[in-house]
Amino acid sequence: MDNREIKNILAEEFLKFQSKLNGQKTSTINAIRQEAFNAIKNLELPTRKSEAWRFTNVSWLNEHDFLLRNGNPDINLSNEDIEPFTIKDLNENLLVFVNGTFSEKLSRIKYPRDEIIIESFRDAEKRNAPNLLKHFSLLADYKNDFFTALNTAFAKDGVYVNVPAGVIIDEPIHVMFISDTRQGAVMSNPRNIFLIGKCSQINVVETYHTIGDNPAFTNMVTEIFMNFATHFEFNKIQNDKGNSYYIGTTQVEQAKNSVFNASTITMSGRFIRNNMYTAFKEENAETNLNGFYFMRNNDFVDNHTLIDHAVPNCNSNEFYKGILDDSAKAVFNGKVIVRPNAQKTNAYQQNKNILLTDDSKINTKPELEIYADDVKCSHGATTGYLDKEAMFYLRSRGISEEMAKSLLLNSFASEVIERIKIAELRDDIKRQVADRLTVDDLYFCDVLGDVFKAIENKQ
Amino acid sequence: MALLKIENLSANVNGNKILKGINLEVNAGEIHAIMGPNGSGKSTLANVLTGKEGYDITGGTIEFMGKNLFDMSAEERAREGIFLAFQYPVEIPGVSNANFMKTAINEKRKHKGLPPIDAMEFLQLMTEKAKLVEIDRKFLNRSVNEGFSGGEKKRNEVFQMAMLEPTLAILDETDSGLDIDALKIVANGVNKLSKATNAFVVITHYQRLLDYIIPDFVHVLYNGRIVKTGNKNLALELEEKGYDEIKQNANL
Repeated sequence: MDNREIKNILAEEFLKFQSKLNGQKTSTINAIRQEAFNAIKNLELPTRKSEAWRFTNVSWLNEHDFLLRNGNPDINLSNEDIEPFTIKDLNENLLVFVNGTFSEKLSRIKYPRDEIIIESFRDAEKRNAPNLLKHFSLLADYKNDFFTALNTAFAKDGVYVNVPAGVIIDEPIHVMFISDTRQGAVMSNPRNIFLIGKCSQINVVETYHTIGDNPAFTNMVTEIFMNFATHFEFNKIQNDKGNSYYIGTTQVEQAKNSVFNASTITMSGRFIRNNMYTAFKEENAETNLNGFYFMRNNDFVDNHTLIDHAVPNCNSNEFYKGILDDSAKAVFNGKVIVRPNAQKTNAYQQNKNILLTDDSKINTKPELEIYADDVKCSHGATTGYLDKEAMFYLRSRGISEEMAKSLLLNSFASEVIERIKIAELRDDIKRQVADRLTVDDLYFCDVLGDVFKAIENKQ
Repeated sequence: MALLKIENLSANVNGNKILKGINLEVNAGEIHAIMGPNGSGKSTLANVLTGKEGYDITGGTIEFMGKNLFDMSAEERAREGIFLAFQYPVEIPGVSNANFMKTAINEKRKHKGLPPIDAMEFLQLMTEKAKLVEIDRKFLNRSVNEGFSGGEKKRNEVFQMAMLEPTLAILDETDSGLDIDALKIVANGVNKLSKATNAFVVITHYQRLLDYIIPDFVHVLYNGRIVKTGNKNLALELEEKGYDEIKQNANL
């Protein structure tokens, strides 16, 4: 299948998609869908000739018949089906999407709509939510980026959150994207929009899951608008099956004094491309991008970040760590732009990798474009094997080579995982890493800390 | 039967001959001091005994409680009862002291066919041993050696030794860089652990430590060989006269 064939299939799908839209056909959103579809016609599928896709091959797109499968998610899945995907003890607002469509039955939203809006994109579009119409595709580059155009053309559902000023939402919003491939390979294009009012704070967890043995392709776009002094904790947890394909672009725009913290945790998936793009629109804002990937088998993950220091006095900090086993491969590309007037910028970037085998591979690249002169910017990348001195130290105390390796890898991972702010999620990820490393006593030290504290308090 | 029996041991590092025929016998209940100038092979001997990689054994034998040491990996030697207090303890961020010790103790217990240690029992053991080396309990929850001062690192080595109760403990220049208070704490820890059933090999540069840990034997290692053996007075003699005479005699 070549480029033209893919485009023909997409054209047919687009006609089908449009025919089902009914009332939304004449909306401003649909006008953008049409524009995006026209853009696809002119855009090439990225090849390795383009710099942004140099190490990232999307030829798998030709190998499977990824189709939009709508169906009714409320009929096909039950609460038991999604139980394994929930996060233990997390008191959450849960929004479940199946093949890109919101499932009311499986979701649990705690907030009433008139105060804090947490709903599906489709519902928001149906009621012509003014803020949705105003913000849709303001940040997403659907005219130049093939996959963003694809998502925009087919955007029909996703999560829509609009938080008024001065609200702190304690319960995390867990957005669960499920691909049900039991009828065949699935493509879905979730589209998410977050609008956060002044001084408000939210925590979001995104997870991805595949049911069935056929491949799934999730092509997601998320737009986040952060007002004055807002705080956003964004967690992407990727631990899907070995035949899942994911391309996701997150675009963030930050106003004065806002703080955006992201943790991208990737444990498995056949192909994952995370584009994390943030831009400072006003001064004194902060972005912290943390990432941890632990890939095995033939899995692939590519983290592309872009931080646009467009204004002075902003801070950004990127910290990505990865462990690669078997034939797994990873890419880290961290681009930072410091524009000419963005004085007093602090921009730090670090990427550390451990390769466990000769067949595993990492391509890591900082891309710093600095046009201001009074800035502090640094970047560092390391790739190595386990520290031999530390290995011997542990073994000299009777700890087996295997266990010593697990302890060191676990500690390597924990440096990033500890930065996850939601305690239940942090514990869940720790457990996933510990399970993979078979470190049984992971929690012992935490428990011990509590016991010590109790003893101290008694005395 | 000797606890440790080294016969005619020679070893190379990167093709250089470092140990050139060492003979040493250590019995239970004894404290041996090994002294010698820089580069004489003291740390190499400690590393060869504990099974560190990167050393070519070119000749000789080492028996520990009747077993051939060369048949055992580093971790097996530790589980059988050999312990090395490192000259430069390694920092391990993200692994707490407590978790480290619990893992080590349980690996040793598994080796001996025992069930994992009970959590409360472990807690008591840690509290007791921490007192021995005057370590604050808060240290136990911190990452292994991370951000510890030199003295704290050395005390942590003695703490680990106390936790693991080795049959043969080798202290590799544990005294170097310690102030007198820390030195006394370390020595006191060793003295309290010394029993009729275990033995210590104390590698040191200076006689100072031996004011507090009284050795039964003092050996002088020079140029890969033990060139002189005596009692504690030998250490005092070396302190006074230096190694020049020994070097001259050895080079004859």
